[in-house]
Amino acid sequence: MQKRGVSTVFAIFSIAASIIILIAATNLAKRVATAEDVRQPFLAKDIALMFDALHAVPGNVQFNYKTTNFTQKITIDVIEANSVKVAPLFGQEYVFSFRPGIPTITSDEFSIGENKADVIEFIKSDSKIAASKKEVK
Amino acid sequence: MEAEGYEIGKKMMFYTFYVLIVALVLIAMVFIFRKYSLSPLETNPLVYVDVYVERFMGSPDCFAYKDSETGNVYSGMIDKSKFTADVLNKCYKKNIESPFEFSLTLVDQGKETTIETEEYSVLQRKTPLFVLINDKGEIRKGTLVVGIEGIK
Repeated sequence: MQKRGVSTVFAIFSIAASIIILIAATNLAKRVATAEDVRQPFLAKDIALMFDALHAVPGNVQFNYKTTNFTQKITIDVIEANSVKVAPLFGQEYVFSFRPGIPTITSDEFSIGENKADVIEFIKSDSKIAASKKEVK
Repeated sequence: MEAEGYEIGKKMMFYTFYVLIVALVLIAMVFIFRKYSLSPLETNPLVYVDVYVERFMGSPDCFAYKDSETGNVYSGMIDKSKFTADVLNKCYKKNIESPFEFSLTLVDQGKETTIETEEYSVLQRKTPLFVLINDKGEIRKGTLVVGIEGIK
């Protein structure tokens, strides 16, 4: 009786351990396969560079920046008008800075990744540069 | 009974080490992937410098000449009346996280005018650029010497 009970505990333990390892390995494989660890910091750096580039444009601009196939919700925030923070629902945050100027940057926090494809809209007008999520019909 | 007890102890040891080793391998893989996956994102700092120099020469909020009648902006044409440190520090505001600082020298008919960003201290690289200078409607050829600090 004692031996059977102990064997059951081992069986449950090994199944639980296998499930945990399987989930962890699957998540890791998914992150590597979808290149999330590269795409998220790339997005932060690219948006920061986009603000820098828009300052150099001699005129008004409207620009659609397409993002596709992010596997989770990602929040994009312009902190104190000089850095872009990209924060996924799970995992590391990435922050990249830019040099503000005239026009000033007025951008609220917004999220992407809930749809298969999202569009970030950059608008430069005379007095401001803004980035926001564009609702695609 | 002694043999069975020994068997159970052996299994427990096996599973304990098995879980520990697999967990360590997974953690190591996460760190390795993270380290190597971020390396392609390293950008040549001169890319940023180019973007900022474009801002100085192309934005009407910096030094680019803007025709007051038509509203046209002439990218690459420096409005001499705008070439002041005050305008430079408004179009390129201080950011402690951003490493680049600039010293701009406008050479017009042999006469040099130099302005600097707020935190500029040491010249690391100097790049001369040929520009047009608009001095109260009179257009001349000139040179903008861009001094850069903050290249690692």
